[in-house]
Amino acid sequence: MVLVLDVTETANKTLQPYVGAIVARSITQVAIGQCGITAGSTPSPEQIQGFINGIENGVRAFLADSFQADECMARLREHLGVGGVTPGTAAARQLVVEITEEYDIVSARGKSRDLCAELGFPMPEQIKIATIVSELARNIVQYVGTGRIELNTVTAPRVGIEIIATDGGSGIPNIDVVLSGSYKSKTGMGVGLLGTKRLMDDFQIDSGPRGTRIVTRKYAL
Amino acid sequence: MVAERHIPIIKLYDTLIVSIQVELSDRVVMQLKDDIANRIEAVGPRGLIIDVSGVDIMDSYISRTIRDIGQISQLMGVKTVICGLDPNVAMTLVEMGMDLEGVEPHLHMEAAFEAIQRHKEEELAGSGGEPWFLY
Repeated sequence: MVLVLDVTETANKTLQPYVGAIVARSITQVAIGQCGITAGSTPSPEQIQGFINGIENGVRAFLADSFQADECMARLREHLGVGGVTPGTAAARQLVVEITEEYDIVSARGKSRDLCAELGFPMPEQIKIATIVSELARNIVQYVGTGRIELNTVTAPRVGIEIIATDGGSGIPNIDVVLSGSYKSKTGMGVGLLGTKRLMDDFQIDSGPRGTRIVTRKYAL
Repeated sequence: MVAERHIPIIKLYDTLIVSIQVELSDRVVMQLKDDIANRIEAVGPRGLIIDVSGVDIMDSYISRTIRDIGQISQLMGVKTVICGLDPNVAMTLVEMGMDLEGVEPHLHMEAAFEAIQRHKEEELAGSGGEPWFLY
């Protein structure tokens, strides 16, 4: 059984040689606050993962050397007894972010990034996927107003993430032009959907007068 | 609901420095665009450095706005450079087919600052001697 005190203590000790005692303590405290672990309880695996993500953000903010940061995080995972998720063991998760205003874009991309970290995606992939989620959410806010983003974990054929963006708008009128890359956007670069298609492993779009549904997947391994 | 935030614009001698260290929402970048244009008019700097080392996700709207900011300030006659692009962000931008055309990129703040200084020296050397209208 792991207690909160143990987790905090372990993190403190692991971080200290890298960032110094004071910074280590403050990073740990912030991470504890963010993941909702309360004193005296036994943290759930999700909470531990949230805690590790919080620590990682802190460590990367304070350590300019990314190799050191990687090493520090690897040690912490080892000390806490959590490795990366092995294929097939990831619990099925579903997160739904209702998109109603511009700030929901920020929240959707944050959630997708956390989920990717949990699934064991390496950092560059996490950033790519979060960018994609940001693009899809932005299209909803900009062209329709409201919609939703669903983030699902997939386990077959491989571990990965599935992003479903749906809205009830009037559809994308010139979808062929958009996907051909010759579309000129007034506010963006005109590459949101095309970029999504390029970066993801799987991309399906269904757009008509009743709305648009985009399903896209990226596999971790 | 998040309160309107302004990203600070720092004047260092004749250079304006903007360091983006917060999670960017559309409103914040929009506000930044206005703020920079106004500050340039008020201060009359030689150079503008946009440091994006704190930006971990840049989608097409954000990169478009940063590019716009660069182009606006260049049009106002201010040498504009961007620095500190995160490697993961750079990879994503390239793979998605986005670019920051019109804004000179530099690895970090020191390099950016040196570029502005070099530009300033070139300008001064180029205009050496008496002003053209006296000839």
